[in-house]
Amino acid sequence: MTGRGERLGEELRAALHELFTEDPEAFLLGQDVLDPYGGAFKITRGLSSRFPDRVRSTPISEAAMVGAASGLALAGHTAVVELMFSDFVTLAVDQILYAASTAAGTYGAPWPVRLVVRCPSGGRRGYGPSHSQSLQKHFIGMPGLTVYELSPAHRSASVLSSMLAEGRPGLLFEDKVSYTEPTWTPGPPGGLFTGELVGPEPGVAVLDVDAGVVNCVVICGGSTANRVLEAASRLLLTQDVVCRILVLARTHPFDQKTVNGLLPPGVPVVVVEESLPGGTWGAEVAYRLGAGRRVVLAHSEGEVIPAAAHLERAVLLNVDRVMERVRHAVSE
Amino acid sequence: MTNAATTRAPKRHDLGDLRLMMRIRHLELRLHELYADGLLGGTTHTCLGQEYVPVTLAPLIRRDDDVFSNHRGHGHFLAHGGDLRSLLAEILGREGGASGGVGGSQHLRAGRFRSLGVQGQSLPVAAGAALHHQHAGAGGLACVYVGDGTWGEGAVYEALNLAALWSLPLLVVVENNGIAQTTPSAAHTAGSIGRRAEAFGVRHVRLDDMRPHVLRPVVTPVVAGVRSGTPAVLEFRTVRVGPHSKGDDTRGEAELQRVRAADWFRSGPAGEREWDEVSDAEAERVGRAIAEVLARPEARWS
Amino acid sequence: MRSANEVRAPRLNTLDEDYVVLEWLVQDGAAVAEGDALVAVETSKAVEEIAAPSAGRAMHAVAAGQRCRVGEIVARIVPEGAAADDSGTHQPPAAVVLGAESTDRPAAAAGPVITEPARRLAEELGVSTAALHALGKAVIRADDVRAVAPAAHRPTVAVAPHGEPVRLPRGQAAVAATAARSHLEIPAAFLVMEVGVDAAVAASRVARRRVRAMVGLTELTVLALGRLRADFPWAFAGTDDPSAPRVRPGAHVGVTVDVGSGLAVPVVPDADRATLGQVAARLTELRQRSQHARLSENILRGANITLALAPEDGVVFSRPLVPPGQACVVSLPAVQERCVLEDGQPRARRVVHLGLAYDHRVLNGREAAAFLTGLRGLLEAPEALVDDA
Repeated sequence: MTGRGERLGEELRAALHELFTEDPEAFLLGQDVLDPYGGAFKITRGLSSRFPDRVRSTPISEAAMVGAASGLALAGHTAVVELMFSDFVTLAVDQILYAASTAAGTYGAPWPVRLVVRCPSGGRRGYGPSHSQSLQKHFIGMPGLTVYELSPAHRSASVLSSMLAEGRPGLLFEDKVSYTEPTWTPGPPGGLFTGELVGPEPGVAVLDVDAGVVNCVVICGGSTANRVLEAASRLLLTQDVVCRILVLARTHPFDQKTVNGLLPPGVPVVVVEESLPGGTWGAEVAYRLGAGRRVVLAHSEGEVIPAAAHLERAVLLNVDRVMERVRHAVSE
Repeated sequence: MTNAATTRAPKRHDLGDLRLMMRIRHLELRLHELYADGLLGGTTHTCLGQEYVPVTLAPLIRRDDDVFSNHRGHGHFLAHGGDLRSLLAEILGREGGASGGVGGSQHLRAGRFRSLGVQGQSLPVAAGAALHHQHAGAGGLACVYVGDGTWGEGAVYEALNLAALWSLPLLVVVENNGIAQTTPSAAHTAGSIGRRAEAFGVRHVRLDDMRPHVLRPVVTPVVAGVRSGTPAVLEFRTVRVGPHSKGDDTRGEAELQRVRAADWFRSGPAGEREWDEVSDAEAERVGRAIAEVLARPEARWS
Repeated sequence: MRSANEVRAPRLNTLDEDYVVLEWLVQDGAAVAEGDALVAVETSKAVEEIAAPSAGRAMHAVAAGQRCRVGEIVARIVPEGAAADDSGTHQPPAAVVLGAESTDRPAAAAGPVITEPARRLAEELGVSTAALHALGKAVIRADDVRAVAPAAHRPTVAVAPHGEPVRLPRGQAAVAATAARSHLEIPAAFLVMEVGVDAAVAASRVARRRVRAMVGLTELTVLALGRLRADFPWAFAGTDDPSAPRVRPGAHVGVTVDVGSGLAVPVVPDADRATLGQVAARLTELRQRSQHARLSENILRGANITLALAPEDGVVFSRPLVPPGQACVVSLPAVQERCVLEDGQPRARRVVHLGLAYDHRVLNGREAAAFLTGLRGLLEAPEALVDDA
């Protein structure tokens, strides 16, 4: 049926199956990933039944999971780690840093490390302070490390293969809510915006509305793409503000070249993320885009993320906040 | 636990072992001199007193095994196939270094040998390498060197747990020199390393002797067991004759005398004619290598 | 309607806040019995059916392929005999239509998306929906409404309430000087030709997606003028000295942009060498800059031909003044629907009356007609224009 996007979580699961079918040396390590459970968010469901010796359920040991995956990758394997919640990535930072710096040239030359650490992230599920964070910003600027976000605008298979082709470890932040939302294939929901991928794989998704002008460019990672799309649709329909949306699957290193080519002269930019303020990805993007361009940041409030739904809503980035930041950006 | 003294062993040092031990010893001694002369920057951790440990294991480790060393890894590097000049060039920041001048003393690589600078970082990585060998099914193993102080890191236990659960070919070599930088074992390890390994059901062998020809017959079957999926901890009770890095030895004179008395280099010569000859030859070999490497241009960033 | 029984999407699990409406199991308006399965919805885990809570006629409230939130009305059951409520029960919410392929885009089929500000302004200025549809744009904003609003609503010169004289604004004073000079100095002649634009409208829709910018008749005409440069150099001649016109290199097309507060003629340079994408990007930039009054002098200089736009609904043709220094000016009015006979059968056809005003000292009627014929040829068979985008 035209326009009915597969759910992003299912699409990612299929991409993992595809990866394991095509790569007989691929391993996955994670907690509670075995069937019939198939991981806390069911993304690995079915994988252990098809590839029992290469899908390993681990103890509650994030450092060992990531470290062992990095050992496999050093030996030439493709290695995927599923963290149950991205919040736990802090327990494995030393291992991530070792893998990244090895890939970047600790031993004198880059050493290929095909390692993906999957990080279910973000809030809006009422899981409270330690299970709702978006920690992407803490991984910006580590030599050898890439940061990606699962994106409804990109094929997950393409995202995974791009990450592995980098030959350096990558963290894949996966917005938990987006698992149950549709992918944007063949097109984004709403029927207003149409998009295409530009630049080196996995590409920057460029979404435009056919209005002849662009008032604001909104840059976001896949995690916030659905919120940005809704905000942009509402801005157009209720306030005549035309946004171009750029959805990035790889948020770091930032593809400055491709993005610069997609910014009309003089048009302000809003960078959207769910992370808390301070040393954000948006600040990095603003710096990369350079002086002379108006860049406005949109992120969550600088608070611990509450469990109660109404309190959580007050803290986390939402559609209204994106709209407010865009209005601020276009007001001169 | 097995005590090496009860096992039958050859009476004399193997000449090859002796050469290697002497080479490591003279290298480490000269590094202290180079540092004093201002030719060596940064930091370096010498393995004076512990040279025999990797020399004991060297013939039992294959080229396709993975070896993970630590901050005190010059001896490991030379024993497991690393080239003397590439080590010196790395430490001295000259062309042709093992890690291109990036890694330095604590981050060396030669083939499948790598050293890591952070305590406890290596065990999970080694467990992953062991998983690779288990999957490949060619009898390979992952060998990881740690000190007694490393047992304060949680990652060690996460990895040991994994190795035991999955029967990984993981060989953990502990160089227990009784001191972590300036903190004696009694102040950093409750219980014992042996009992900790035992708690995971991981085989543990304690080795008190310091002579490779005595130790090797004991460790050979353990290494063979690791290759067939029985992970093991080899705990060498050894001594750190030198400081932690440079001029930071806070031990009292009595303790230092005990350590020096136990040093294989001093206690060795009785009945072995080649001892001095080998020592002189290796000292000269190291001296030549240093002169040659110092004459090289500085390493360039590639 | 109170008599209708609302069917809301039930909470089917703890995880999902919304579902995908997979398939309607009964036709819109069909009779159903209580308990009949109405519609299949997909949760993140399974496909579930929602049953009719009572007998009656089932009126769909959401279309297959859309999403519905928990608690949202998916259908209404109208008891037999009761009148169906027409007030929008069939209308899916505008912003949740899925799908983006140009061929099956629901928005295109139902006419353009008209934003709320545009709707309000159109009402205020008395602009008809038909006039907005005639723009051929997918999205209509307030600016688009302004562009087609009757001129009275767009005063170029402020009118003082009590009839005192008002000094012309600087921009309009410059327009006045140029217009007067043209009128005094240039003996202009004028030709009009009818051009079918069905193919061009269709081609620009396709091209729009490819070049990711607005493409319409304006863009195609600018590009077409550039393509004619090689065969009709005199149409691009400089006429500062009309007794000795000079052929100047390139085709630099000035395009009239009326921004509501004055007239500007920014330039698309080197149209003879540009691709459609480049022309579209340049025009987008010019529109954007003119909206913010950012048209610098160098953007307004250097044209050797001009395209005068008159897109207001109902404009049949326009006769522009020839800009001093140029040999001619092409005018592009609004698109009109025509009924024509083809093989004796009536057919709807979209046309424009393309105009050419030319300096009769430099060009004669035959050359002017040949030039306009060339332009018509390119617009009626636009494949050559859009293929190299």
